Amino acid sequence: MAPTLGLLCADPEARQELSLLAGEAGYGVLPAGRVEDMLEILRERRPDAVLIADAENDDAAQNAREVLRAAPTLPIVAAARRRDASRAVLLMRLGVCEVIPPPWTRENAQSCLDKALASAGTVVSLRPRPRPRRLPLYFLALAGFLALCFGILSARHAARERALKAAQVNFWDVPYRHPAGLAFDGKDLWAADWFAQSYYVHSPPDLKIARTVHFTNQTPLGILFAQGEAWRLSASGLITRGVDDDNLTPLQKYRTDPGTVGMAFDGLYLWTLDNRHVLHQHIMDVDLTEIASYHCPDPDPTAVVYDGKTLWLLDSSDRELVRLNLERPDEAVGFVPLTEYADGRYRPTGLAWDGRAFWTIGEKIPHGSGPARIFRHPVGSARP
Amino acid sequence: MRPRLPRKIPASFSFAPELARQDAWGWLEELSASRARLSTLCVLRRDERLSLDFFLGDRRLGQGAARVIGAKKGEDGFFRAELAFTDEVFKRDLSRAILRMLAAAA
Repeated sequence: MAPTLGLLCADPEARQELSLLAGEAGYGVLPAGRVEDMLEILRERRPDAVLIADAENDDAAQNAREVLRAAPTLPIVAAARRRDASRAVLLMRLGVCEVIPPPWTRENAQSCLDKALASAGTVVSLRPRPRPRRLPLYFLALAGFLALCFGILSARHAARERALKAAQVNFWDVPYRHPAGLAFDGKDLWAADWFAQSYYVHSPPDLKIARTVHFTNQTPLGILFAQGEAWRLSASGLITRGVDDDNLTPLQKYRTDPGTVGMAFDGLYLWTLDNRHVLHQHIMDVDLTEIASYHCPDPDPTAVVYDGKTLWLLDSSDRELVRLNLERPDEAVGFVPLTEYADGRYRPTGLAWDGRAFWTIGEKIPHGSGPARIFRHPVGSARP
Repeated sequence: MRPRLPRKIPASFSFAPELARQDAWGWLEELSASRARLSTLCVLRRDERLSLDFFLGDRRLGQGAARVIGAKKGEDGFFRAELAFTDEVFKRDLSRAILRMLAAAA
């Protein structure tokens, strides 16, 4: 059953208009032109709500008071001819449930009338009611953002790691083809080339050739830096002790076995290695007196180096480093394979130790067919 | 505890003059010292600023600067707007008025 609505409006045209609107809104309208008629309707018909027009000659405040006196709990809706917020609030404070603003439309009338019939009091508190949570959305957005950040960061980290790894070069091609020995003078790497009769000085980290020392009457096989002097070894077995200057100015010469291929200095003795696989131990006196000799445990040693603790041999055929017992150098205590030579394209001929890593120089196989290559063997893989 | 007044509080509100918007009115469905929930036929959008004017008991609270922090049109055609009061002095006055009213009711 449709709710009934008492309509109080003095102006017949406005009453007609409001009556139509209320009818469209689904209310049964009981119109009245004067407040007395409305009071009569209230007594006899008991409408569910009352709609009062508010115009200049039709005071809704007065009419609402009269209606409320007769029916205090009845919802009253006012329809304002003029838009006046303070007037509207005044009416609402008097007890009017809603004020329909001009222009009167069906939507506004329906909203106000429906609400008036289903009104309740204001909730009052000191603290605001918690707003509906949008946390899940924020949380998802935040989590997504963090995940994105993490992804970008880890991708960049991985890219940087890859770049670092790619930048970590452990071999360098050099422009000569017949390397015979390698040494470290504390700063630079020295490589001996027997064919060019020269020593090439390479400066880390990029191993550019810093300078070249050329000898016309010698075939250099190796060089050794010991006690602040440069000891050169040539193919005839001649060891030349010289000043560590630009020209390696000779100071003294020693004759050794013509088959000598490598030298090492352990801080006290000079060690020489010959091609019959014998290590000779010399005192550093004027004659370079040999005090002992040991047969190498290794089948094909081609260089010897001292790393601060013990002697190491370079095995050119098995492509491995052999660690010797310094007390008894005829005893091998460890083997470290040189994986860099595993492809068989180079044959190692020289060995050096720079305090952190072993360096080797390899001759292209077959015999000098291409540029030689210097390899660095990081400690982790080179030391047992 | 959220005490409920026997009647809703009517409130009128106005906008800044440069907006050239007509004053409007509505009901305060909820009221606290810093927030209010307004039911009105006037179209309100989020982040709009308005000035609220109403009576709490017999005490008039006017020029309450507020920001609309959320507005939604309900199925009944009325906008339910969450208002946050932005004027600290107004908020202090309002909390005092509410306290007095709650104390009197208790």
